[in-house]
Amino acid sequence: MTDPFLTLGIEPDAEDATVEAAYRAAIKRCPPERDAAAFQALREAYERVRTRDDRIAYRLFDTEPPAAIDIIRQAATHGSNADAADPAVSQAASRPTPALFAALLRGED
Amino acid sequence: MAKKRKKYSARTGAKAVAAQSPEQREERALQALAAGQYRDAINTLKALLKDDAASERTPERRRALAEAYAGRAHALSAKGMLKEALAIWENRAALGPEIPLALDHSLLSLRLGDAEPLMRLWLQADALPRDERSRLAEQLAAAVLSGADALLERLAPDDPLRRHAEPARAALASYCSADDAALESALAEIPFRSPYRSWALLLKALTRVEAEPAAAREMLARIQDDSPFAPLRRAAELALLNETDFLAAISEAGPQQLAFAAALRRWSPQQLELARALAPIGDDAAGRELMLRLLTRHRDLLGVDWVRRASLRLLPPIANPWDRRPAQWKTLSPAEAALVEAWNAELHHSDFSGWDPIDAWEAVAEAMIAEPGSKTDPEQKLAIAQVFRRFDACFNVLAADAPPDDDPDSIQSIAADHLERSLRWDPGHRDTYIRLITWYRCIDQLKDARRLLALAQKRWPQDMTVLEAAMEVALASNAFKKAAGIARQMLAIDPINSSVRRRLVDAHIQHAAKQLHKGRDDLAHKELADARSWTERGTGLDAIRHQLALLDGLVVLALGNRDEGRAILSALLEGSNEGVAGQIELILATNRLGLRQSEIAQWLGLKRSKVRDRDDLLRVIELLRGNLERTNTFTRGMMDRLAALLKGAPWKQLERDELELACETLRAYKLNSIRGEAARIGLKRWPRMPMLEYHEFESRYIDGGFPSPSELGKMELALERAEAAGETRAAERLRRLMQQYMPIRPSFFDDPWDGDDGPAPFANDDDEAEFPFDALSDLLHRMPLKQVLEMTGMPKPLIKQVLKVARDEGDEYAIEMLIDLIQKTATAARDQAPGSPPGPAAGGRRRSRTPADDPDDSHQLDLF
Repeated sequence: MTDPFLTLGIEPDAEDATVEAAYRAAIKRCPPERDAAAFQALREAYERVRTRDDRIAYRLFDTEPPAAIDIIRQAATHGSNADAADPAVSQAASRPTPALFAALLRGED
Repeated sequence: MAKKRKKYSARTGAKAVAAQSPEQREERALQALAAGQYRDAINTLKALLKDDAASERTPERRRALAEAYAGRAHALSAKGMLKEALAIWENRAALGPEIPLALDHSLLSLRLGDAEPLMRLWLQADALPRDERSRLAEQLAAAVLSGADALLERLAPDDPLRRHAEPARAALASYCSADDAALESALAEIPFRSPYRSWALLLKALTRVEAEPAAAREMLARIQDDSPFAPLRRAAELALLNETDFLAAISEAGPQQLAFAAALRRWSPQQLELARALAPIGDDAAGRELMLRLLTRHRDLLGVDWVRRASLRLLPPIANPWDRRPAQWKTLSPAEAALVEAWNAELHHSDFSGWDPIDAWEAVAEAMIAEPGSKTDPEQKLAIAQVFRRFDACFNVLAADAPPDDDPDSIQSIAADHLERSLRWDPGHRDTYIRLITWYRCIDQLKDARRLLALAQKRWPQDMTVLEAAMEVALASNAFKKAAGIARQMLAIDPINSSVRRRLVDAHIQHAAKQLHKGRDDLAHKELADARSWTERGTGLDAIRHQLALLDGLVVLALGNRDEGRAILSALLEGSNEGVAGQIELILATNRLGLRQSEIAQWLGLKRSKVRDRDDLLRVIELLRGNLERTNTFTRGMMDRLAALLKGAPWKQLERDELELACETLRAYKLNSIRGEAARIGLKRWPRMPMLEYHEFESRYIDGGFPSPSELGKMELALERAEAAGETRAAERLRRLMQQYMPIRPSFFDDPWDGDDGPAPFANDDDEAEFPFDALSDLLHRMPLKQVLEMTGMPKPLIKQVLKVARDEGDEYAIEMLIDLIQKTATAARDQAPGSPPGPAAGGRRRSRTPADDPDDSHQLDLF
């Protein structure tokens, strides 16, 4: 079971409305007919942190250690928050450099 | 020796080959070539060309040698031995002008930094087939884009490679600077038949990676595996994988591919480094340790708070409270340390561990309360309340069906206290009020139930659950009018609520029984009339209406006109026409009014009938089960009547599930001889079925007696079978039964601290080992007395006696008394054991009793 906050892409201190909005947006992007497993993961994540009591209970009683995927997602979430200050720079930085293209074209894996 | 022999053999082999004719040697070389044995073919053909240079077969032999060189070069390339492969290609090119330059030779040269052979080939490309020419053009296009600009100078101005190079490079620059408009315009200048076609396709796909991954995937799939742009395609495809697959692919991908994919995924180099470090980490203890270190190293990237929370869950397990804490322990706050201990207490809680979850959660709550802001931060207050609720939520100790224990030291009392404390931190938690109100009602602490009810009703005056709790408390307090008022309130909110009607009807029937015993048949009839008024509406209440008619008839029979009562009841019994089921209904109704069964039977002149068939039997079981929902008080007369009716019932006609249900029902009514009969019949059809074995065994001894060792052995086997079959309910019951008859279980004396470094207070390696008094004494002093007594599997009456002594005289006195008792008992048992030396029985406080002397209390020791 992965971290429900990371699955939904929300902060642990999110309000009920934020959690619901994130869930609705996520299932719109990933409806069950497109990816049933991903939809189920979203559904389970939502059920686990739907209310404030649920979120507190998760913080206090969930003992599941983070999976590698959680750490990767957290790095992406936290990293993207840090980059959010300058979206233009962020978009350009998200593209590989010409040097990387050249290296791969030369056969350097 | 072996080397010498090999050398000799090779020399003799070469001599043998040299002795062959040139035709034989050529044939042998061609065979090796066809079999892919390029080294043999090369050696043979080279030697042949040298030894038989004048042959008219020389041109064919040279072409065969060229083919063998090409095969060998491909094999070396496939192994990644590029330089060695290039040397072989050069040997091939040196064979003479009649051997044309191979395209793959040129491509390998290009890959190793020399574009010249490819260029030479391109300048004579008109002679090449169309496919090869296209392939060659695409390779040169890739070379140009990888930085070999000088090639362009040698091309004709109208060569497409030269003409389209500029927009291809402009497209790259626009893509990399995220100028999508410029990119589109540059790509528009690259026509479909351009050598840069795959390049244009690739860049278009890359712009869709984020927004339209499926479209990007489809476009990338159109780039062939042998295209020079395939490495870029593979890197882009990596970026399109989901996180799990990407993590799995990391170990296989090269650094440039990963960097390319990471950039497309918007990952920083630090994220990529983290992912590469995570990829090989396993899911074992060592993996968790590594992950913990990794999180600490990357805490800036991941966020300090998140790393702190995640790290708590990666700490190694702590099996016992006295175990050494991990190195990171000193960095934890008191609340964090308490929380981790509580997790371990829950995880490792067992009869033999020192962890006590209820204490552990209390420690968490206290540590949280001690934190600054705990009294003002709403979130923290709710968290403290949840911690106080945790023990009951997890272990369900205050469940309505749990055997109530009002001992102030009992787990249930402490759990109730925790729930009360939780309400101070979260006074808006309705379910906690309901839980406590129900619990207090069950243990007859109605004052506490009413106190909480008043608070709950003030907060939620119209809440159905609170109203239902209020009605139950009113009924438990015999406040029938109040209960009826609450029921009306509930039915005004929910007019089709049948359960409220049923509950009220039951209450009126109880009241009618009281009036009947006071000799007030008028008031009893009034109560029954009130009950009937609640059944006028609502569905599924026919059975209750029928029962009310029986009850009315019984009241008339008991206190009114006997003939009239007899007529009413006879009509009802004839009308039901359900065999023995009608009589059962009458018996149950008689029991509800607390009337004598024998008198009623005599007045009505009832003849004893038998259960006719399967349907009759199932109906009887259904009636008995329904009655259990209303009452658990049964008179001896009722049980005798039921036993008489059910004796010889057709149990064998029931299916396995039905028979199990029947046994459960009979158990609830304590009809143990009938239950034993049913179980034995079932065991004939389903031999060794653990649940039926349990019923057969328990029904025999529940009313007294003690099983023989062989019977206990059979039960142990049944327990093993239940465990093996995954029949957890049967296994649990059998385990309890075994515990009851073998209270000092061997497992308790097995070493529960089975480890290298822990103490082994109960080590029992041989039969001569002494009883571990010191360890027991240690446990008794370290843990709550009741918990230790329960751990030993001591019978409940004995536990009660010890606890009473503890309450009256203090824990120390009780512990000393208990150890003294066990010492004397153990000494006496050893002295009486077969083969033990004769001697006087030690101790005078243990009465020598056989089980037959006191069947109901066969395993009870005399403490006083």
